[in-house]
Amino acid sequence: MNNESALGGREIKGLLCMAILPKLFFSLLPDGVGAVGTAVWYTQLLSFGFSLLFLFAMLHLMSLYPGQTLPKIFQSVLGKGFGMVLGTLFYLYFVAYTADHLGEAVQLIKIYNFPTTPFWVFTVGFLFVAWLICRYGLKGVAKSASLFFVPVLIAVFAALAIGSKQYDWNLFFPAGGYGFIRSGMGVLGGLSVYVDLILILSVVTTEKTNLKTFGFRGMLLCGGAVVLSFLGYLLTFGYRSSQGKTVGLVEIVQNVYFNQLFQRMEAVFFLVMVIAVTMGTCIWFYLTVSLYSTIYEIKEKRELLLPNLLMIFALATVSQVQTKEFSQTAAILFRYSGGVLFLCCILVWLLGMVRKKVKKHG
Amino acid sequence: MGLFSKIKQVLLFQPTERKEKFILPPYEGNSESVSESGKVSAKYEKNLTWMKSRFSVPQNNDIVLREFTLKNGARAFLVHIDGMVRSVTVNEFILKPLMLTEFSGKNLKQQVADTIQINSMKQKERMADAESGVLIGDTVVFVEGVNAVYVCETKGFDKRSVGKPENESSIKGAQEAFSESIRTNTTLIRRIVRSPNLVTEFIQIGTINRNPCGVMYLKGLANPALVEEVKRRIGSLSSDFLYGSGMVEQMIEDGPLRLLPNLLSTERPDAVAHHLCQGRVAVVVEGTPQVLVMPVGISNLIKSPEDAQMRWQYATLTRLTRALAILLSALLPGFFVAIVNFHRGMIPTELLIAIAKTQENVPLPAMVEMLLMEFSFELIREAGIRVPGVIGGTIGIVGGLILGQAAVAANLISPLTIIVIAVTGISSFAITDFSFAFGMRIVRVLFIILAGLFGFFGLGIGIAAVMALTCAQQTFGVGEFSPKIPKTNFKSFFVYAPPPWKKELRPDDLNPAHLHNQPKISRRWILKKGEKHEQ
Repeated sequence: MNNESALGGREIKGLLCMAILPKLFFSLLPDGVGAVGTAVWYTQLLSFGFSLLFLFAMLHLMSLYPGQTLPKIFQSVLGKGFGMVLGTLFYLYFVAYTADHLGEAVQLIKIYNFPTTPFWVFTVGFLFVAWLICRYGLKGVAKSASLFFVPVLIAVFAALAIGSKQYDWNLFFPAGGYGFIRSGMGVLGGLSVYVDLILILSVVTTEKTNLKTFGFRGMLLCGGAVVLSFLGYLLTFGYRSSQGKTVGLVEIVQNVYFNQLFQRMEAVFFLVMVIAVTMGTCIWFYLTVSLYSTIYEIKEKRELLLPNLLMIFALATVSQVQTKEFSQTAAILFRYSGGVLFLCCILVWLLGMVRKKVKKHG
Repeated sequence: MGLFSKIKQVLLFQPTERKEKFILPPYEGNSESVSESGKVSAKYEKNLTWMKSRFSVPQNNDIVLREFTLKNGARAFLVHIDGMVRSVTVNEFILKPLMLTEFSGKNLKQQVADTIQINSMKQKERMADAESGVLIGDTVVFVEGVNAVYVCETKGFDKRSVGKPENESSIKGAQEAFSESIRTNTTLIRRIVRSPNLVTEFIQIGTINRNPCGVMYLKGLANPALVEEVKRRIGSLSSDFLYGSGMVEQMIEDGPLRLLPNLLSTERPDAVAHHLCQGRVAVVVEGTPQVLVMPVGISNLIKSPEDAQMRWQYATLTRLTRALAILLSALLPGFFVAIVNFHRGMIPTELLIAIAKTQENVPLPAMVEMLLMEFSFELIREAGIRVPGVIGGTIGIVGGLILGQAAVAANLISPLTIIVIAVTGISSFAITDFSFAFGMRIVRVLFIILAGLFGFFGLGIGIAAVMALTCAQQTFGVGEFSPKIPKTNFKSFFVYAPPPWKKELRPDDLNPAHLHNQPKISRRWILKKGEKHEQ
């Protein structure tokens, strides 16, 4: 698993999609619509545009420091000590991020189907499969992601198509949302959807993989799916009734009568959600471990799997028993922290450019 | 003991005679080989003693050791195993010429060689060669004053003739199948691939049974690294007894814990020939009518050699059916259990009521019901295979129809479960590869348990785990989902069966010497007169 060899285009697309798309099954959609109202689809479009710009900025930064991943570039630009501190903060964020998403997925499963089953059963289920797959290294994780991303993507679009029976185009208006400030905050919050980009760039180098082409294509697929999902959710539930909903995409199809043979299809999308979350957990978990091993130059990653697994399990358990106030604060923090991480990386990019220019002239 | 003495014994209360029980003692004596092999001596007695001690003559009644004298007075003997040689060949073309020919004093070694009238005769100088020659059915001749042994090919043991494929039968295409004889099998392949580049290298496996194992590949096409790796793995095997392709398969495969097979084991020479021409390596082992092909992915395991003989539309439809059969075979019972137990909202109310009615009187939960039926089905299948011919078929009918009906009538099983298991069973029979179908059966049971415990959550993590783990694994450096993941230029995968004129490329995941199988326009007759095309 220590061999992080070159990834193919399909694998890059798979990693991006399977890291980003599972969130569509969480409370991302209702929360987003609740925060910015009818402006949600274009604020998301803007967030997507900014994250594309971020991708190109990072690719430029990586081209300035060829053969290095983001954590290593942090150390080259900011100095070893400060770079390591920043990298460690990123690592801690992503550990919490993985645990938060896992906790949310488990909560949704409990609400949806298994109210009396202890949450650790599902947490252990997800983490065990993630551990099994992660033992095959980045290549194994990426290959698995490339296997599932097409069916999951098809399922997302199918859910939106099935849900189209109940779309009410009157809910599209008034298109202004809750005003510029809240929409602006919505754009910032929307960046968190694509924060996984940082994780992937922390492991993959531009030398071995054509990140520009395939990263762009992968982002287009994800961005398209995310923006359309927000739009579909808005048209289904409107900006008022979206509050209090939980399982995003699955809810869109929940009330649709499908046909005589299968009355309702939401269970199938629930199955897709479980597969997507399993793969998502696997990617978040592996890339987090990989990020740590890159920062501290640890070659044997296999030994890091179990401690990280236990840490994520513990944090996911905490997320199940926390108070409402704590969870709301955590949700707000996670919503806007993506923008902060992006900003940190952009600053490093600017500093990196300055340093390179100074070095060139000096 | 007679009847009278038995009655007397009972009446007089005499105890019965007790025979002493046999107790197996620990091995005592020398377990090392009887004598060291060395070079063939010119001394008659030395060679004779060595051969006698090596083959335990005269205790070993299988060995024929015939001593005779040449006309010039030199003593000679021949050794072979009774039943493994053609006696006529030995008598007419070895013994007779040697006993009747007048040898002059000069160069006896060459004169004897010229006298033996066998087309495949080798002069060897090591006693070990003589020994292995005898063991494979050759006759060895030692002559006094000659420091060489004449190993004459006289094999003539009984073997099964080439029959029809029984487990991979097809309507179109070849109807020949491999047999147990390695030579017959290599010949069957060579008859299809008539290329001087087709190389067969023999490696002996099993230190006691010394089974021949042939590695076949197309020189100049198959990747040399792949060939070397196959030879390295086979050559490194160290076991007293290795017989048949099944044992070799398990000894050389990657990941012995995997559920799905990672080598193709086929009984069809046309399938092996096809894979050899794509750059794969075949391993032929004496003893079983199956040949191993490597490396293969899942896409190869669900194809049938018949597909290439059918028009592409029909072949594609057949593959689509097979792909659906795989899905049904793995997922249908799990899906049924999950829906009935946890996700009833999917099913229309009328159907749900009908299902509920059928399950009303059944005391078992759906998962247990399904596992019970699965076990019964496996039992019937196993019994059908073990029981001879006609009765085997009858067991299927009795087991399937009568037991099933009785179980439903006794309210042990619901009729829907019977339908689901029947569809699943039929689907599993549509899978072409035996080992792959076996793997699917294990996966199915796993999915039933997961679905029974956790509904679609269990099924979801089960599917993700099985698929992702399979996808992440490699066999001889080639991915299980190759040539699709990682993506390659090879067009044929799972369902689409391209017509022969569209198969321009070989699978590039094998890294063969030549990627192009044929030019872009292989049907040159479609070109206009005088028109040329790029090669």
